[in-house]
Amino acid sequence: MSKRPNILFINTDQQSWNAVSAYGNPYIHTPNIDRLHRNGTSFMRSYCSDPVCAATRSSWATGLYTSETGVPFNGGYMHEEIQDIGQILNANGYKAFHCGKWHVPGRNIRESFHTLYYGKRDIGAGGGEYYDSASTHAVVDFLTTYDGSAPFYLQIGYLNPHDVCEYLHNHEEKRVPNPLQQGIITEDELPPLPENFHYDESETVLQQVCRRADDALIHSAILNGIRDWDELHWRYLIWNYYRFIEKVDAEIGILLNVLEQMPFCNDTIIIFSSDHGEACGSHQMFQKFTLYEESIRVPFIVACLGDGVPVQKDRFDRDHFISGVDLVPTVCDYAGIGALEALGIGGTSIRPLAEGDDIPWREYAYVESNYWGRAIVTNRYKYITEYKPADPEDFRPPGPDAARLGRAQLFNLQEDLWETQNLASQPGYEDVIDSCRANLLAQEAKLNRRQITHPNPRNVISSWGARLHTQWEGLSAS
Amino acid sequence: MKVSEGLHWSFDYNYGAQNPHFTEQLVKTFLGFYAEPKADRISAGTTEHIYDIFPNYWRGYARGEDRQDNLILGQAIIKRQGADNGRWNYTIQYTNGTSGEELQLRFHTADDLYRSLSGKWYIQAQNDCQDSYSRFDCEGQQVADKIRLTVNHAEITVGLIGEDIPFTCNWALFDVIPALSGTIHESGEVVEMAILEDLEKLRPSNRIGFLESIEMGETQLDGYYLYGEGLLPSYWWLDTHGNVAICANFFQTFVLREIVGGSA
Repeated sequence: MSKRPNILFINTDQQSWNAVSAYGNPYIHTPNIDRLHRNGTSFMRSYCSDPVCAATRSSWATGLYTSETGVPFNGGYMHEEIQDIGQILNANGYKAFHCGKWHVPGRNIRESFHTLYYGKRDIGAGGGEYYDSASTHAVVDFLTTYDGSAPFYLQIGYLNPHDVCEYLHNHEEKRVPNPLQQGIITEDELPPLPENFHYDESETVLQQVCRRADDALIHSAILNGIRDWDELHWRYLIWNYYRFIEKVDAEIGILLNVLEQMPFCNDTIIIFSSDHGEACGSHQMFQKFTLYEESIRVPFIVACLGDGVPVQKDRFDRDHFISGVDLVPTVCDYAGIGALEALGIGGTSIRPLAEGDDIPWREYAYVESNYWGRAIVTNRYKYITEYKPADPEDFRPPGPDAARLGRAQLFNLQEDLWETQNLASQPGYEDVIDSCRANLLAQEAKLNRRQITHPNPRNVISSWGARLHTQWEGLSAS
Repeated sequence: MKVSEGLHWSFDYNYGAQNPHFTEQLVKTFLGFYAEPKADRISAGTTEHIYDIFPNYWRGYARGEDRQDNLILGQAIIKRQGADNGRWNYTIQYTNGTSGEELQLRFHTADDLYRSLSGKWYIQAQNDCQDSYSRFDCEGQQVADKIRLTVNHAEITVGLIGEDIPFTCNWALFDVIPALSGTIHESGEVVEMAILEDLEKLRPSNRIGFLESIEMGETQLDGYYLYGEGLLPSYWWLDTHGNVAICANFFQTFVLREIVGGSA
């Protein structure tokens, strides 16, 4: 590779790691994402930094974990002093373009990037049906008229399959009949119920307060609207979810087809991922906001449709833990931008892995959720835990603090991929938990956890913290 | 169905839309059209069906200081004209105030039940967003079994189409479903079709079937569904004159506001 490549970052919203037909899912047809896989390396152990849109996207933008960015949940606000990838690239000889969803509160997309399209009304969390096709038009127009004067970085944020959130909202206040009773679909067309449909009732207090309680902090209206769903309703949700992914796959197909016709195709590296996954019935859960695999594990492909940028093709990497914080250093590596620590960027470039080099790599993935939730994923085990809320006036994201850790779950992912058997309270796993906890604390000791200063996220932390505090007090009393 | 009691589940999107109220506004357009006896749907000349577009999930996607009293986010005009050569010429104008996209689609079809796409077709998109994207032009045609598009001299194939399945544009379904409705309704059969969504995205496998009949105010509506790979279900409600009165896809509900042309 004699010159700096163009970099295309295509991202979908809410696509789980296994919702790709090339990965063996027979209930979905994604020929264009499959094509990316054939032209690149799929990292099968890729985890988002935090399973909710704004939080994980703040990591994509900065290479930092969400306890560092100021956006530990959707209502967060990016710390002003942190540089984002658009600013870094534009200052280093690239032209950085953006199209589609951004959703990083506190950072004006139009000040950090050259924007191709961000909606007539600025794109928010969802609305793929309105925006995704226009995003494709904007990118195709760009690709077919690009003058090649400087290498470009273009990130395309598609909204789908996030629209599945609206599918769920649709059930809050009305009864939608079972489609089988309507005669418009047959049972054999529906994907099966997931093997982990039932859930562990000893989940963290945070999970119960946020997602399980009748007055859950997150989407209680949906939760109560679907409480009486039967098996077929859940399976129909999965069926719909896959259709949303097929919709966005077709948009990606148009982009790839056009790119392939362009003279710079050979010199363009493509990174594909999703911001987080979708529970889709696993653990009787919907949407994201949990630390189970369906919610935090995402596709991550590095590809090139030509041969101008070295990348191992048609290959699965099942060994290396990838995190959302790795995007920025990877892009910078391809762009020839060094001295990342001086720029305050975390994460690690996965370019050597995409090229097939065997290099020392992290031994676990670290994931945050809902401000107090944490997970460590190792080669064999998944450790999920939580911090108990602290002083209500403390707005520094929690950790590392072993004394404040609350409940834990432990799963053996090699024998129990679907996380159905919580081993945390079983004898014989004390050392495993100690080891995972040590990894957690060591990871957090490396983070620059800054005080949340914006009043809006502070209000969320206070109100959620008070609710959790009450819950913990109740548990102590009983 | 008394309109005051709520809408059919397939187009009831009151979630987050209480102010302005989705039902009230949809019914206003609907009853406004059916206040007087209606004509047969299409004349031999030019006929336009004009639809208001209601956002199915209002919160977040159709807000704006200037739209507080009006939920309608855009309109779609389906204009078709019978030609001497036995074809139909279609022009679709679609505007969406949320995405900013203004689409004009032009295509020709055979004069058959399925309005089979023929010849070249054209997509012109304009967008007045505040970013650099402003215009997209595309030309397409079927070459043997390939669906080909040309954008700024880039030629791409978006898919392959079999000879044994009817093939049309989704916007022609405003005529196809009424044309097939008698057969589908009476026989209970399901019709398989390939669809080129917005003349760009090939959905090779879809089916159209009968859902149920309802009354909305004084008007009887017969419902049909469209299901397929790569598509979210959509529901099409026909009045007794064969007009698609309401069409609800995932994010948008089209409600017939006016017919220009047509015959009594």
